[in-house]
Amino acid sequence: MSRIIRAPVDAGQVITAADLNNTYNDYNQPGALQADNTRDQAFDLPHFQNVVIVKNSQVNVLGNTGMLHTAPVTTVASELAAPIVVHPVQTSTGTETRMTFGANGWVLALGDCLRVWWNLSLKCYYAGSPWNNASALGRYNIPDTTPPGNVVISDGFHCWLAYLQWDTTSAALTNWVAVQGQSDPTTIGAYEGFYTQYLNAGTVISPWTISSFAFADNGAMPAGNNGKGFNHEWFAPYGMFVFAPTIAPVTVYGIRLVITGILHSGHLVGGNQENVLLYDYNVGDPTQYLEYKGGRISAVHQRVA
Amino acid sequence: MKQWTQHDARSKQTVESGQFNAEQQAARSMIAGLDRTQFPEGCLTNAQVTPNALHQCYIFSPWNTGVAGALGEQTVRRAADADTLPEQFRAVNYQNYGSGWITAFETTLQPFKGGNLLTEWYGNCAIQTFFNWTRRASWIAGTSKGVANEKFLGLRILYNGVVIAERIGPAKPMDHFSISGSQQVPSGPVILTLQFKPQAAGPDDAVQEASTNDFLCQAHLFGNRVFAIGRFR
Repeated sequence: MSRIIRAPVDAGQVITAADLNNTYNDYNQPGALQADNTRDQAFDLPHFQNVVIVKNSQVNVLGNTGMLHTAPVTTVASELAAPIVVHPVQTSTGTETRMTFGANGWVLALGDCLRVWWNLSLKCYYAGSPWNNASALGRYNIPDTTPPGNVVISDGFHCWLAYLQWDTTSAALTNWVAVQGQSDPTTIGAYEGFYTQYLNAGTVISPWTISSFAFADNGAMPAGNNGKGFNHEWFAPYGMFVFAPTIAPVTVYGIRLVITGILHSGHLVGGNQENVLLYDYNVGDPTQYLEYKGGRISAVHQRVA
Repeated sequence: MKQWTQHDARSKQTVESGQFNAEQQAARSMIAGLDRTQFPEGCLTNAQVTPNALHQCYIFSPWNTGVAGALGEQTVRRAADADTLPEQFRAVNYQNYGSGWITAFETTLQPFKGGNLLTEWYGNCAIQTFFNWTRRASWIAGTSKGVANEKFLGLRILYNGVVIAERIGPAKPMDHFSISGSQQVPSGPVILTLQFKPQAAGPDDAVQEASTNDFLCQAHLFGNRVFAIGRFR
């Protein structure tokens, strides 16, 4: 915003017409009037850019169509070992249900932004109490209600992860990578997983809830009792992603949702001690899987201002 | 109607300071006081009013906490590595948190020219739910203990310190959430505040690991992204 820095005039001081005109010109500097210093309702339609706010928009079906939680459904297996292969959301017959933007893609120019939302109806399955497997992550000791001794329970911080990938190279859609700010699975020490600071388009999905089932007493559990698991049944996770290029235009040819798991929380003991999600193969098993029916993915390409 | 000019000063004319000041005051009113019915035709160009005339997006995705390795995470209650189990997040625990709302993210949105402000907040969270049903917080053998110990994460959005959206929030151990709200806001910088509220410790909650005495993760926010859009009149 411009500032008037000309000295004020004292009462009785004699000045010239040039002074008066200079002051008038101070208030009429080209470009001085902008959003910061002009009140609302001050503009009329001729003042605005003749460009629509929304440049592109699109909605696509994810997974299988239908409202009922019945066949056809698609299944995602839990990871059992490296290398990790994430699962693109698809129909029960294996056709990927992704968002494509044609041969020219959507060109996100500087000053544009891309907004994406999705939802997916799903259910997580498990057998027994995999969180109690001997090497499962997240197990810790609390006192036995009848001392001495401890009882091992699970913190329950296991999860599936759904996140967005895009192809910004060509309409052939063969170069899918995680969207900006989101990572694909990476090696973290002795594990594979994700740094939580790179979960810009990630949604964690809880496979189970573990409860003391009324047995916890004053911070302790009875010997031989490590809680009870509950299935969340069908529910509909969702996510959002927003991106505005800051250096150069980005052309997006397609966006897809991928799912992977089962992961567990943790943090780096060394380094910057950041938080991470780590694949827990100890709970991975064919009986631990995720099943989804369908959902929607929506995208809007618009101007930032 | 305000006056456009007080005087039309001619070259070589000698004027008094009162004339000068009257002109200055009249001109000042032009900066912030005229509405569109008082602008002469063609006095503004596209270049003078763009790009912030109709709307303005504000993108914090993920939000920057200023802490290395913590993009998108709440860091206001984040336990030290030495106090945390390796297989848990550095997070809110019952040693660094008692009760009440915690500000996870706060920023000033400007320029904001007055109008509708919509905020979308999406993210993930971890919540310790094992002790949501215990001997003293449960129904046991026909005897109600009458003590609630729900484990969920309250969420709310504030504009200039005023709550404009609030929800009970997620309640699964590893969960995701969204909260959106909009409100009419006067012109000027807008302070956007995002807060969360874990639940306080219940009567039977374990607060630390029995062998190492590390504090237990009770709640954490991560993978957060925030988008706001001001739509001006």
